Amino acid sequence: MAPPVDGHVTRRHIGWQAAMAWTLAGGLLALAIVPPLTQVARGLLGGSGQLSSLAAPRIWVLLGRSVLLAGAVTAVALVAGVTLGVSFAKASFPGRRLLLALHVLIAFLPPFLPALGWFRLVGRSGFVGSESLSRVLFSGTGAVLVLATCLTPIVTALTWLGLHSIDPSLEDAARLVGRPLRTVFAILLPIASRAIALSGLIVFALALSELGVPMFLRVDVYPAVVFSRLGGMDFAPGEAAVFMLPLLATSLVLFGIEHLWIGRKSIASLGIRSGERSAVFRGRARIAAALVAAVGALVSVAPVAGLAAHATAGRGWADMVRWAGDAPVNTLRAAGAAALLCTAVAVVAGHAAARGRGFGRAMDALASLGFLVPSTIIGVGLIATWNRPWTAWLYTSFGILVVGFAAKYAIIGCRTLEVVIAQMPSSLEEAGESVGASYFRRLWGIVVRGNARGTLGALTLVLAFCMRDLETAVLFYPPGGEPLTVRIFTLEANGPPAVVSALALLQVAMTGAALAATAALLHRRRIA
Amino acid sequence: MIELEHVCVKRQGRAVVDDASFSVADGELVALVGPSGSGKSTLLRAVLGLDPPHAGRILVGGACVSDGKRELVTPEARNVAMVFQDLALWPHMSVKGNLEFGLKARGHAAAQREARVQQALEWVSMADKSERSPGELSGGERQRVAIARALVLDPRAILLDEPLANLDIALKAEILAVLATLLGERGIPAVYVTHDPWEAARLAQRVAVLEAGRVTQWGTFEELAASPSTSFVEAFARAAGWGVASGSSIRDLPNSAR
Amino acid sequence: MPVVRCLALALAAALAACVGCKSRTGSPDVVVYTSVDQVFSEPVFRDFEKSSGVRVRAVYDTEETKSTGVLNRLIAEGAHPLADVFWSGDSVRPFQLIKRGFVEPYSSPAASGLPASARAPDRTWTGFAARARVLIVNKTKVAAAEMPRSVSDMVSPQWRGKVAIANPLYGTTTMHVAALFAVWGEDKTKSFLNGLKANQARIASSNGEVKRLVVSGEVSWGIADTDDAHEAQRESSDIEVVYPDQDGMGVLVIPTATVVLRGCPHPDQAKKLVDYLVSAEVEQKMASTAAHMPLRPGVVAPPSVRTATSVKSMQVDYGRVAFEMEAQQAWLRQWMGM
Repeated sequence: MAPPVDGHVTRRHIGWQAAMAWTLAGGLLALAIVPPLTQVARGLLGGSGQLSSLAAPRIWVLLGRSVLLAGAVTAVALVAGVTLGVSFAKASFPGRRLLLALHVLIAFLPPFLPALGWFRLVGRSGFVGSESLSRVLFSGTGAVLVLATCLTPIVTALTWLGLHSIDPSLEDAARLVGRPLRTVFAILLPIASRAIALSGLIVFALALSELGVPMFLRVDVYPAVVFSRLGGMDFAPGEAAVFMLPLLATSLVLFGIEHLWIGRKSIASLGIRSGERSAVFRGRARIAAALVAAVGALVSVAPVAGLAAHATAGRGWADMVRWAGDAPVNTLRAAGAAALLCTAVAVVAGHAAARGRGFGRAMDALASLGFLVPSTIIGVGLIATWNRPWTAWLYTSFGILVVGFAAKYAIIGCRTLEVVIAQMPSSLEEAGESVGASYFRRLWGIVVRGNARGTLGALTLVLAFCMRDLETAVLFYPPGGEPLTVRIFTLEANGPPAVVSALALLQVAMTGAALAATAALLHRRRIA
Repeated sequence: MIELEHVCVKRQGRAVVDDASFSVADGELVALVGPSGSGKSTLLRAVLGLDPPHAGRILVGGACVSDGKRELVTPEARNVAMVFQDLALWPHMSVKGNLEFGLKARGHAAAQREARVQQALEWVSMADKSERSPGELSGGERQRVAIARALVLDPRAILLDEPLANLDIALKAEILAVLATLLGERGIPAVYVTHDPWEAARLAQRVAVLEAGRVTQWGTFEELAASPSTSFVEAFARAAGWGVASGSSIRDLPNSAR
Repeated sequence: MPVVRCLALALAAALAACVGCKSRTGSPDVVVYTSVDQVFSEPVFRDFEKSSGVRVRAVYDTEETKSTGVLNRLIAEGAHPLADVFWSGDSVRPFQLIKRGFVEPYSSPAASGLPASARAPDRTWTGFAARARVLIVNKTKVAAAEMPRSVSDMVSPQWRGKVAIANPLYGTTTMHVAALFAVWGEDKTKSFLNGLKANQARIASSNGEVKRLVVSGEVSWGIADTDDAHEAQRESSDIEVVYPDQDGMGVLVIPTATVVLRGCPHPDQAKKLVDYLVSAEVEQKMASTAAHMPLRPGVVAPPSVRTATSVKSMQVDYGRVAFEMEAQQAWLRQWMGM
């Protein structure tokens, strides 16, 4: 059964309650995303006289390098992630769930933490470090590899989901005539190709936005130049805005690709179908798949283990609490509030999108723009927008982090809930409508409660992405209100190394706990 | 010839198919009937090699493909075709691509593939729609493509898992006639899973009744009607109206669809 | 339905957190942005909180943004400053704020013990606890008689391919090069820099990298900051630190500096914090924890840290250095091949 992606396209009456919810949700989302982009655009217009700055070949070399870096990361992540996704989804072996969880956790960490972990392992004075390994780490290749290991699980997860949403009989039909590998390459992967393409796009966008890893590994990238151009000796807002032009253009290209080619269908068809499924890989192929999965988990765990060993060896634990300060609370507060806000908006927007409403599509487009535009641009725009006397109450509180996170990560909630709600027959809501339930009553009583697991899943995903954020928050976090990622990043410079490792593990533990709590809750309900 | 000897399939420790034995001769069509969840689809999957049995032997064309301990022949090497309930046409391939996939996997040359695909599509009167994608076809056309895809490989046996469940009665009759003719002409042994006593009566020579994983009765329609062993068999036999269909075989059906 | 209950609980918890965070506004606050490493500056702020009862809310810089991060933010926040005080890791970058009119003049009574060179005549900034640009020498590679004594030795053929300096586009190296432009003039400095290239000096990515190259013996010596030198000596007993040009122009001393932002939200607390930062107590603290040179005579520093009064320092106008930094930027970029 094809999911009702396009839902009902017939024009239906919109009640005042729905209109109110749409106005509120749309208003909040637009407030987070539109003003910063407008501010940057204004800066661009103001700086149009400085378009000549773009003539410098250095700029294009850097942009080329950034795109190349993101492209290389995407290529490596696609090859590794598809292999892993197929191994996890299409072979049955003991410990599969645990290995998958271990493999995926790293994607929920800010990539500079694994970079730090690899440095503790293979850096000059690392546990298995050497001069040559260190040279590889601190190079373009090192940055590509570190980022790829961090982002591969996104490909793995979406490939896994894509494969799981394929009608099992399509696979069975192929297995009757073709070998396992032919079945995977000719039938399963082409059918899952949109989900895989989407994962590639996400990886590319994240890699292009990434500041932490390239800066830590001393690789010059374009966003970092824009960032440093904003200040220092040659501060020129107009010029900096001009430098953002190529980045904006790149993100608009990504946006176009996503909307025209991959389309919302890529993710809207990603529902996990119930029912038993057989494993494609048996015998020796199964052992190979298990080995691939184990390597995937090991590569993800290794940097975390490196941090743990370093923290222990350097007695970093004792001072961890003192150096952590309020940062864990700041993280949880801002990420938690942003996750709730985004989920609330996403219930309304995702529902509208799942039912084929134009409003839902517009919200989806807006939110995906927020995600694809590099954090530097959003951050600068947010400062320009909110740093005014009459909005100081927001700009000086953790509220500005909530706004920034919402601008950047609302799409994750919207898309997740769109998928979840699209799997639910619209007749359930129509039945509610026929007995006189109002919009809000249907939205809460049928859509949210009927998809409680999906809603919780969406909330957790947004929470995890907000918790891992560094790029957005580092630009405008309120004084004394820095999230843990920022604190680790600023302490990393000359802070006691073992304590920094311990703090990094605190971040891992917090993220792991949030994800594990949700998983436990979802699992309990599945059994019940 | 398909032979099942004391086949047992377990899932999560529970026997879904328990000690099932029956055989299908060349040119014969056996209807596999039973209540929902009785293990019919699992049994078919065991014959296909997709769900390995935990005990018992399965023979196809006289060769043992599974001895209950090991899968002796992989699914793709068994050459047993299947028409799925939801047809399972690959959405990203054209009609031709769907038929060609198996031929390619077996290393047939392009010219040979072209000829066989064309021929198979002619059997089901779909030769003019080979470049369409499954999404562009009507329900009946898709059914025909699924049958052609099963037959294009010249299988040693064919399994049909409620392939007509979603069709209206007129279309059902039409497709049944096509199917009956094609299977009859080729003498391929066939197992036909259905919930519909009328379908079973029109197509099959013998009936295997599966209840809670066990074959509770196995024989011709007359045998079932004469001494039903369970209340399910009794109800089924009555619903089928044996008097009309009794003793009929697929060869007696009108060739209206040809 | 437990999941729904959990959603509701999460909502309640978030609301409680929002309310909770508002209740902390009772005690007076001061907002400080600093490009001094967090590991050193944060303990200073904690001590200030204890002694004054004023809560410090800080924004720290990172090594990676090469001390431009918080400055960017200060400039971006411009006319509506969120910060009260900027504690700069150097005395050059504050001029980016001064020239934009973002600084409120303030001369702290606590700064009276500091030398006049560390106090701006227009009261815009106050310098204290400093770093100096020193030569870090690996004794296993350099005989005692051959010890380099001047920055100019970098271009001596004797050290061809054996010296290192950090990228002059970033960090304190930018200021060092700009100071040379100010003191030596354009022609001499450019020929020195071209001489570096000709002499195959290693251009490292950072001062930390220079330190590593010297400690590992990959080069014989290099130029870096006193805190890097201090680290190097902790890592290896073969390291000698030379304060260059003691019989010539002197060593470049770069004090950390405080400024008060014009129109800042908490002007009284800002002054309190500045008074504390420029005190002898903090100079003492920065000397013992961060190996920064005290500028005051009489502050006792650990043996490995020289005091400003015990060395001959370069006479520079930091405003002029800031000017040169900007003026020579394009040429330096070209020199770096960027």
